[in-house]
Amino acid sequence: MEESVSVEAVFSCGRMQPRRFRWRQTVFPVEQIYLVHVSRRGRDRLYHFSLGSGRMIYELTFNNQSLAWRLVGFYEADSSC
Amino acid sequence: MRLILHADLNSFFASVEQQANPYLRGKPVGIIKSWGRTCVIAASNEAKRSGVTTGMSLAEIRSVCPGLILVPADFPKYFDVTRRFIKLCRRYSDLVEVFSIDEVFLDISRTAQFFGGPFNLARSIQQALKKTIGGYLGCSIGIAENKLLAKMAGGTAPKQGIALVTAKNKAALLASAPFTEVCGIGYRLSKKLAALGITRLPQILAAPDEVLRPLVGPYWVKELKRIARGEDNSSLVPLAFLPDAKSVSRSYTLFKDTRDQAAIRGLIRNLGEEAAAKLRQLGQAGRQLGIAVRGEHYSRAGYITGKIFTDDGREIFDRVYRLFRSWHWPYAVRFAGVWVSLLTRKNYLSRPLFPAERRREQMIAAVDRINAVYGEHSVYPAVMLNGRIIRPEVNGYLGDKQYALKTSWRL
Repeated sequence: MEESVSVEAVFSCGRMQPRRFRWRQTVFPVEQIYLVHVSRRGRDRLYHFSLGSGRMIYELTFNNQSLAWRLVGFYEADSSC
Repeated sequence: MRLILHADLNSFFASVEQQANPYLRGKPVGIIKSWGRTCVIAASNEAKRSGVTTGMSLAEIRSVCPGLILVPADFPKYFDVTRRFIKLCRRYSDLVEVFSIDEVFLDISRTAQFFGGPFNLARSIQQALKKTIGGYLGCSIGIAENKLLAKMAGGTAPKQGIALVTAKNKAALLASAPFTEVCGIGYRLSKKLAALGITRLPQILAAPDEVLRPLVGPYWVKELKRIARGEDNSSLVPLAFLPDAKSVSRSYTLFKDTRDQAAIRGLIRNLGEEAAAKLRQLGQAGRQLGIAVRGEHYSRAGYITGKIFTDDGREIFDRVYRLFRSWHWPYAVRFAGVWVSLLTRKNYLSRPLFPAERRREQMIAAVDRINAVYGEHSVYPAVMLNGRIIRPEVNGYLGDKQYALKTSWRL
């Protein structure tokens, strides 16, 4: 999946941390960031955030060229990927 | 005294997935190449304790670990974690060698003193890994006077443990290490030695040369004895000193057999294009072109050696496809691989003489620039249309290491 989301993020100490995001008219607070990793697609650098909100794990990406945030996956507790 | 540290990230692929998704922690996780694949390429500690091993088929796994959770591999994720681990290691030594996607060597001969000694330095690396990359990640560390012993010690250390090889425990390590933990003794050599009843290093030392020589040849007799004594004077090879690649390759296993000639042709062209793109990024060209195919339990490989060096995907494809056609392959194709070897640096070669060749070179350079901006295979040959585009990926063995390390980490 790949859906556009709106994100509030904090830029501090050379890091970017999403604080909450809106997806399909619902606001989700970011309770914990489990992993951040970077991938490339051409000259685009994609920052992937694996984060937790409630009982769900979400993966958001931030594209440094388009400055777009996308939701690319979510996982429920007790389900396989 | 020389001090070499070997760090091995524990159950790397699965641990990264468990780091990213806490609901996978504590559960048996098996990493598969992608959905539809039927073989596990990596497993979590929990899965390994249930008997899951790398290379097991899903059918086999059902009997040993029916609750295994399958996760498709995300190689860019793993490779980025590796990159960050390397960066972390560079805080502890300027001499860091990337041995594989989850193993590094550090020469800490001169730096251990700044961290309170080798053991404290190792502990510091383990703590920094958890603090800066992920608390669920861990690494086992071996420290010794050379790479061979450091890797052996790391392999026999407990998960997230540290093993320091000293004069007192070196003999015990050499006596107990299974061949699976000895760098330089692979599966085939182990089998040959097992035929003689040799399963441990002291037995190699005790075996007369005349007994070993017919089995392994004169070169390997000396090598095995050296390994058995724990001797290794090889240096670390940091990234900046990696030698030029000796070959580049790309292979791919289809999801099912195919006899569709257009699909086979597209597959071979795709693989050739990737090999060529790797060559161009490395600034190299090759003149030995090879192809391997497998299907319906038959396999064949061959190569042609030309006088002219090339880094052109179409030229590589034309030659290897002609070779493939000459086999009159009667079976379906499930797997194909293309490689280019006998490489040289492009700037050692003379420039193309003829206008048509120069135009082609300019066109290829233009395509490379487009793909560099919009992603690999944004522009690709028409023969690959209607087929699944196979994109470059980092694999767990860091195949084409020079390409993976020199070009992929331009972040």
